[in-house]
Amino acid sequence: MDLLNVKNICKSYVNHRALDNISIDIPRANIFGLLGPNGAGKTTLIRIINQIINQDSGQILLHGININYDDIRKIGYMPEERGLYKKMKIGDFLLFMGKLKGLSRSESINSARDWFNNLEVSNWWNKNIEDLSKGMSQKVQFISTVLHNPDLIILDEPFSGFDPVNANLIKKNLLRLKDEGKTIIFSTHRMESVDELCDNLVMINKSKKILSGKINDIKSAYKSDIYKIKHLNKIDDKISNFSVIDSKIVFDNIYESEIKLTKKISSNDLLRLLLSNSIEILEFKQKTPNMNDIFIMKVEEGKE
Amino acid sequence: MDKIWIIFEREYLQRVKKKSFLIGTLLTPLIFPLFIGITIFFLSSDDEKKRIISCIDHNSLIVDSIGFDNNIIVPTQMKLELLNKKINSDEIYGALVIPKFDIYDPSGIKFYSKTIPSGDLIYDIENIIEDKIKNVKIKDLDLNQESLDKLITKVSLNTYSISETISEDNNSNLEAKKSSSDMAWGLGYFNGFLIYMFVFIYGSFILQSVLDEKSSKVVEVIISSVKPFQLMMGKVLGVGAVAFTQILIWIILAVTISTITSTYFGYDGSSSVNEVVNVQENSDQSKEIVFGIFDMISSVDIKKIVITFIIYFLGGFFLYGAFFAAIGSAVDNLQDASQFTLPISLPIIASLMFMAIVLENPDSNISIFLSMFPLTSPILMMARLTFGVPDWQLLLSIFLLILSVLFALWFAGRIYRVGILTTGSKITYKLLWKWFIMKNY
Repeated sequence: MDLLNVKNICKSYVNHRALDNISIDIPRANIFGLLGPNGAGKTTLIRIINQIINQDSGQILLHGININYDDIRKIGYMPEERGLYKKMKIGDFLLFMGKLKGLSRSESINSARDWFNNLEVSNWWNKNIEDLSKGMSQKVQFISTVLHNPDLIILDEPFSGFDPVNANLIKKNLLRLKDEGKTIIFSTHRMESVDELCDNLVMINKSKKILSGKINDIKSAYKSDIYKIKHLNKIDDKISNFSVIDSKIVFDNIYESEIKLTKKISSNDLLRLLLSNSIEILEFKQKTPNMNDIFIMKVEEGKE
Repeated sequence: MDKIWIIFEREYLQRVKKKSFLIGTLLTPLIFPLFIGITIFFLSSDDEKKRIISCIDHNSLIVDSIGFDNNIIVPTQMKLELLNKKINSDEIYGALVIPKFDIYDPSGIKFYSKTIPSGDLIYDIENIIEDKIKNVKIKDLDLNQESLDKLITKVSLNTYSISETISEDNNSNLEAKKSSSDMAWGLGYFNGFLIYMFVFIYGSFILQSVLDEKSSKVVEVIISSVKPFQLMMGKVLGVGAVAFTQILIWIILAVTISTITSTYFGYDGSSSVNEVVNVQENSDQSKEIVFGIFDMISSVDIKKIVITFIIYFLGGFFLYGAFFAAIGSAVDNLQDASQFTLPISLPIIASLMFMAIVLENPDSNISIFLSMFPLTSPILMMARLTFGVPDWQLLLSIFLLILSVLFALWFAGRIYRVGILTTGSKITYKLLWKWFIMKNY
C-alpha cells in the first residue's frame, strides 16, 4: 500500500493557479523525487501535505486515510526557507521542537543523542545557535526534522548549504532511513542528487504534473537514438539508416564517433550494419540521458 | 491549546531570562525620580544669577528695588539709550519705562529686552505695577487699609467624592472619602501614561519578534508543527506575560518600599485626616508630607484601581499587540513596517494628547466617549478612573474592549496566516485586505 496519496489537488492564490489537478502516489520505504523549476508549485504541494495551507479541492491520504491535523506528528518537514532561533542553545531548540511534535523531554534527549552520533557531531547540546556555521546549522535543522522519528520525511532542497562531505553524510543517512521503512519526499531542482538517490519521481511544471514514474523506467523511455562508438576505420557516411554527427581521430586509425539514427532500428541491427561495412567496433554505447537532460527537455517542451 | 502553551513558554522564558529584562525592570522606576531630580537641580541652580530689570519711573511708583522669582526691578535715573547698551551687553535683562500718567488711566508702559519675555514675567510685572498704583489710590481716596484688608477673604475647597457607602453619622458629618483632585489628576495621568508606555514598548516587541521569526526563516519550520494562529497567540500571550511580570515586580517593589517607609514614619494607615492635622502641629515637616501622601493614597480605592489597571493593560496590550503581530507578519523588514505602524500608533499617541482634556473634564461627553471607544479607552479610562466613574460606564467600556480584542485577534490571525509565508511581495492595504478575505489558505 502507498504511504501517501495525493488526489486531484488544486490550489489557487490571489493572482495565479499554483497546482492544477495534481495526483501522486508515493510508496512506502521509498525516496521520492519531487522535481520542477522554481515556481512550479512544489513548495505549495509540500505545504498542503503539511497542512500549513489548505487545498482548494482534492484529497491527501496518509496510510490510506484522509489526513488530519494530528498526522503532522508523523511527518518531518525541512522547508527550503529554513532557519533557527539565533538566541537559543541547540539543546533548548531541539527540546522545543520535540515538544511541539509531542515528544517527552527524555525522548527528545535520547533521539537527539542518536542523531548527534549519526551526523558525527558531539557535545553540541549547550552550544549557542548564533555561533554555528551554515553547515552546522543545516545539521541541526535536519536533526530537528527527524527528531520525532516520522514515517514521512519531506525535504525541500536539503543539500543547499552543505559541503560535499556533509551532503554525503546526509545522503547516507537518508538511504539508511529508507531501509528502515521511512518514506522520503525530496524536492529539488538539482538533478545530480536525484540520479543518485531517488527511486521514483514526479515532475511538476507550471502547476501541472508533466512526468512521473520509476526513475529507471523514465530513463529508458527517454533513451535517445544517439550512439557513441569507438572504432577502427572511418565510417562511410553513405551508409543509410543513420547519420554521423561527429567523428574524430583519437589515435592512428582509431575513431570516436557519435551517430544518430535516421530510421528506427534496434541496437543489434545498427551493430550488424556497422560490421557489415567493415568497421571494427571497440566500444559501443547508447547515449542515455541523465535526469538533468530530461528535466530541461520537459521544461523546454512546456514553453512551446 | 497545549501548543500555544509551548510557544508561550519559549517566548516568555527567552525574554525573562535575558539580563536586559532584569536590568530594565530594576532601572526603569529610577528614571522618573532621576528625571525629577535633574529638573530640580537645574531649577535651583538657576537661582544663582538674578536678572536685573532697570526701571525708569516718571511717577515714582517704584522707589525701592523689588525682587520676584529670579528677577529684581531696580529703579534708575539713567537714560534709555544707556540702558539699551546695557541690555545688549547682557549687563541687565530688561528696561521698564513708566511714563508720567494719570493713575486712573495708566497707559504707555513699555518693557524692553533682548529676547521676548515669558508670559509669566509680564504678568508678574503687571501685578507689581497694579499693586503700586493701588497703594497710591488708597492714599489718594483716603481709604482705610485695615478695612480694605478685611474685604479680602481666602477660601479653599475641600473636594469629596461620594461613594455608595455614604452615611450620615451622629455628628451629622458627611463620612465621604476625602478626595484630592490633585491626587486624582496625578494618579490618573500616571496610570494612563504607564499603559501608553507598555502598549508601545511591548507592542513593538511583538512586531520585532514576529519579524525576527520571519527573517531568520525559522517560521516555516515552526509552522509545520503548529497552526499559525497558535503561533501568533502563543507569542502575543508570551510577550504580554513578560510585560505583566514587569508590572508585578514594580507593584511588589512599590508595596514593599511604601510599607517600609510607612513603618519607619509610624503611619498606621487608620489615622483620619483630623488626626494627621493634630499630629502635624508637633511633628517635623517631612513626617507631615509623608503622612499627607499616605493619606491621599489611602483615600483612593487601591484595589479597584489595580484590578481595573490590569484589565485595561491586558486589553490595550492585546488589542494593539494583535495589530502589531499582523504588521510584523506581513512585512519583510522594519523599514517596511513603519508605513503600517503609523496608523496603528496614531490612536495611542492621540490618547496621550486627549489625556489633558480628560483629566481637565473627566465627566464631559468627549471624556466619556473616549473612555468607551476601545482604541482610546485603555489609556483614557485609566486617566478618568481616579475621578470616579459610574459602574455601568466602566463595565460597558470593558465589554467593548473585550469585543474589540477578540475581533482584533481574529482579524490579525487572518493576515498573519498568509503574511508569515509571504516574502518579497510589495505589501499594500489592498493586498492585506485580500489576505483577510481569503477563504481558504
